[in-house]
Amino acid sequence: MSTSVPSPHPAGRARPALPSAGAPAGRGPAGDARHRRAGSWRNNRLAYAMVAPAFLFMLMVHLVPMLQGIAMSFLQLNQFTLRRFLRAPFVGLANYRSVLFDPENPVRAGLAIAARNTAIFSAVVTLLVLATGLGVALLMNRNFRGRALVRTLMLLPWVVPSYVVGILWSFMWHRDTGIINRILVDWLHLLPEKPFWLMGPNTIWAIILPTVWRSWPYVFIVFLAALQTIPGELYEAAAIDGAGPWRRFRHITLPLLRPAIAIQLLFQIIQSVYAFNIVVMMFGNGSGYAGEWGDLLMIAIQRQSFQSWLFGYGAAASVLLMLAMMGVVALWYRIFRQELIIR
Amino acid sequence: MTPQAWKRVHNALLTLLTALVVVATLFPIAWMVLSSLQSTADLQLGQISLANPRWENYRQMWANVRFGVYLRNSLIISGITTLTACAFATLAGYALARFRFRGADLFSMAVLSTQMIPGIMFLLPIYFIFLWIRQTFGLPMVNTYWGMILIYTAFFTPMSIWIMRGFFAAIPHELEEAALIDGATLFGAFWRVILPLSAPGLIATGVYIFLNAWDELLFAWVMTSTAEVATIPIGIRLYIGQFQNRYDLLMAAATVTTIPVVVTFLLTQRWFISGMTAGSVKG
Amino acid sequence: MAKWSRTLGLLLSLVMLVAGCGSSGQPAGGGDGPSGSGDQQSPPAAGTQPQAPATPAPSGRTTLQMWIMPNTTQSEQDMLQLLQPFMAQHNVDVQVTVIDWSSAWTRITAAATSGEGPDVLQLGTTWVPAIAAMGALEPLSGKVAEIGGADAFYPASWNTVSIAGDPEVYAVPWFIDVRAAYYRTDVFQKAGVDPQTAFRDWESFKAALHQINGTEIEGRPVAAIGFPGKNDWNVTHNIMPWVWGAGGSELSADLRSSAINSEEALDGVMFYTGLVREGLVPPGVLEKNTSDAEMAFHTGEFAVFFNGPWMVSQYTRPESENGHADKIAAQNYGVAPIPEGPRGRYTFFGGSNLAIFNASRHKELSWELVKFLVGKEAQMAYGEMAGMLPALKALEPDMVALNANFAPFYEAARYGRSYASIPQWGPVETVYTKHLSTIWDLTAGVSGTYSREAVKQVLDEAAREATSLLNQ
Repeated sequence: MSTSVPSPHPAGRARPALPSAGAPAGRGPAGDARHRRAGSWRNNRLAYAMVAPAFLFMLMVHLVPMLQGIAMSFLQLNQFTLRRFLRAPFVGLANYRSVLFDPENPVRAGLAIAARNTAIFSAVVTLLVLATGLGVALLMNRNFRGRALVRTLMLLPWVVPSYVVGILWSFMWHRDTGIINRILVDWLHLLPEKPFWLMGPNTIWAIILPTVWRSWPYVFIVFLAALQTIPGELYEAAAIDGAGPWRRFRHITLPLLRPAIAIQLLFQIIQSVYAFNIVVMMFGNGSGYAGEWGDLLMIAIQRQSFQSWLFGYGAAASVLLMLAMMGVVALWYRIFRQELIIR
Repeated sequence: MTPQAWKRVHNALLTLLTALVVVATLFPIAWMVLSSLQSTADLQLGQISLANPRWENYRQMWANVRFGVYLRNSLIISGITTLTACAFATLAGYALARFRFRGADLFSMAVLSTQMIPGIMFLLPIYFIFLWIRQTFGLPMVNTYWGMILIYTAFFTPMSIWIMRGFFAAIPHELEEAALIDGATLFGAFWRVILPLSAPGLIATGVYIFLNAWDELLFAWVMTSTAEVATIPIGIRLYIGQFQNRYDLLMAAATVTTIPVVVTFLLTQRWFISGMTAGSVKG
Repeated sequence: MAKWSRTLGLLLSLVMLVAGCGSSGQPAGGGDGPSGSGDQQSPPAAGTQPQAPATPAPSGRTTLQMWIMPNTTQSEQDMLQLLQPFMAQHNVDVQVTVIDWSSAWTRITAAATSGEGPDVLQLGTTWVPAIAAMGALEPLSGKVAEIGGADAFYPASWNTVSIAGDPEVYAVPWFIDVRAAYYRTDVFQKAGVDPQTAFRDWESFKAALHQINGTEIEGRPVAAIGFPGKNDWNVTHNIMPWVWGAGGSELSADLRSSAINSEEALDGVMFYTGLVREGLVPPGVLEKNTSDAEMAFHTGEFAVFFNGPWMVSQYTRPESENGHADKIAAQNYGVAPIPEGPRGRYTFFGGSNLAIFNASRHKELSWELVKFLVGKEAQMAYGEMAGMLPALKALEPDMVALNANFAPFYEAARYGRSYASIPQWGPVETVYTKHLSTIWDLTAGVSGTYSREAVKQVLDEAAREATSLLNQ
């Protein structure tokens, strides 16, 4: 990557602890001037003081409850023992064994299907959100009249609350009276007859599309912002060398967007694996079960934990999900490691 | 075709494509507003028209469900959360962007890790912790504003630290150095020089937090038990159910719910977008 | 990657530490666990609201907290209006909170666990044994004589106030939801079908449906029958009457295992879903919930609809009061019993009960409140508001005098059946609902192939999952 381009870095990913670990600390010649009088207690005191409030809140609402959540997964925690909470009978790894391998386990039954749906849902949503976001960002990365207005209008779906999105789209999906079938069948004649969207395999589309509709604008804005930092000279130079639009995109735009894409990719994966609101609002007024093609992991775990009171199993399933997520993030980190270093 | 003509066609096509994207993007929102002006029966029959808009839905929705109370609660909880989380994130983000201190890497890691915990995992523990606080210190936490604010602040702080840190990293160090040479303290340099410069970033982060808090559902379900504290996602469901089916009022309420966030966004979007441009690229 | 593994290692060692604490019966971690939350009997102060302490308010009035579900169109206002005389008489304030059904289960569970809840609460009839088994409800056996005891209520209703095998009473019947058949008199007349024979048994019922299917009213064909499918809170309640009618049951006789996959149960499911397969049901209704399906019946999409008593009240009220007196069905409907199956006539019998949390600090007053709500005036008034039948048997003549269409519902209350009253019923019902939803996918032809074997397979899975729940 050309060092002349300010390169993105993720926050959250710490800089290499030693300058020798790759990147020079700081940026450009002023690097040494950063307040890093190593070991200077006064500076560190200020830094600690600044981090403290956030740290305390995270400790109380994330770390301690998470450890308790993990502890719950080792307990036999059901409706009869719930009042004893962490003093419920300890069963070691039995919950995990049961959730993973016991065909008779009531939680396991729904989890396999939910895991399959979550995998499809997350992959498709992430792909569509990134592709749409990038495509529209490229489309909007030119000067035309009313550009600011259009940009703002496109961001609107992102500010519609997700529970509203769920209710609204369930309405639009209705087979006989919904507007979507009317557009597809009556107006555009794309389909021979009106399909069900809220029953059967189509359910997965019924939850994917609203999710994409709500998520892509944010990604679009990030990509657009990134596109605008690419100097025009690069393209001009490439054009002089005779590179066509596709090659310019492939060799200039894409490499420079990689860091932004990497970050958005990670967030989209996390968000869609843990998706909850839209589906719950879309199907929650019915049986609370979105069907064989609409049930997602978070919802399945919530249902088993709170409706069936199998909190121990639910906690074990949550921990497994979290471990899987950590695996995904680790993989992501390995792939995009290079982009995540400040230069 | 001459190059010139080709360019014109090309531009026309791009304009058409842009228009299509805008229509597809806005259509569901327009549909929501349109639906809120129909009668329930027409909605269920799919007979939607603008022939006689029922504006009274917007009057009735406040009486049918005590929607004003839920709206107030959402505004209070989301508003205060935005302020607190923004403050925490600004401080921590600055520290991470500018100082190298022992534990910084671990803390950054923790910030990232919080995003990997499924919310359902700490729902019950937090509930029990809140009960324990009450029994130990006599301070009620479940079903209170500050209980909700505490949870939400903690929830949205990590991501906001991430965003803020990107903004601060984009601001040249020379500015602080100049201030330090002029005799300012480290904190003074941050407070008087850097903070004013990062206003767009602050606004972008604030909008992000507000939208997220406004949107939270799962914890609101469990942690609030009376209408005095419950937020909109809980109240809005009361329009439909076993004994009434007021989709018209539901859609009106959904529209009203969307208005505050849209207004917030429109008012701040200029800074929001420049903030995103400055910081998002950085992470 | 070194950092990752280090962090993971740290996390894991912490987990071990916590788990270790858990195993020795100690609260986890250094004071970070709610060590006193569970077993302690000293009830925490009731009012969870900062500004409304449970102790007598400055005015010297006590405040009772009450949770209800959305039973009426303006649930909170209606309830407060109903309670006016009670509040005046006892000099108390009642704070009514309405919680919607979909989150009610979660919130009541949380409240039952922690003792941080209302004084009096409404419970769906099927929920009583579960919440009672958590030890959260005040036993009422010593007091029910004051409201007339078991004899004042219908047997199916009284079945839901205690746990099977335990004589203790934990709740009091409040109102009854029982299902019967609404039918369009004009359609039957035009098709020349006699409602008396049509609802006699399954055979005559199916024959009648075939005969009326597609009858045109005002130039519009009306389908024979409609009912919601999978996206509904009544999935299990809608199917069970057919299972019972065929001689099946939800659980085995010893209540230890599921019986949902018996041949009889399968017969019932096949008959009910068969109505769809034979083209008697407009397929669009299958994705809707009960409220949506009601609207379709009001506006004349189909001629027969199984539902609870509330539509009778709605057909007497104008639209401005959330009624449907203006709809086509309102002027042309009758109510008939559910047709009798080969093994008897059954219908779903549910409704809601009232219970008192044992963490309440005002048990006496709470009991007074319950007593007031099952008193004649309040029962009559609320029954009318909610469109449900009052739980008190004594009010039957008054209700029928009010509207003759209530009579078939009272008849239904006699052949109505409530589920096995066991603590695990709630979770089991969740499992049944989940799997029965799949049957609707098969029936609607959107996935898989509909056949007796395919349905049997789904019921087998439901039974397996439910049985393993019962053995937890």
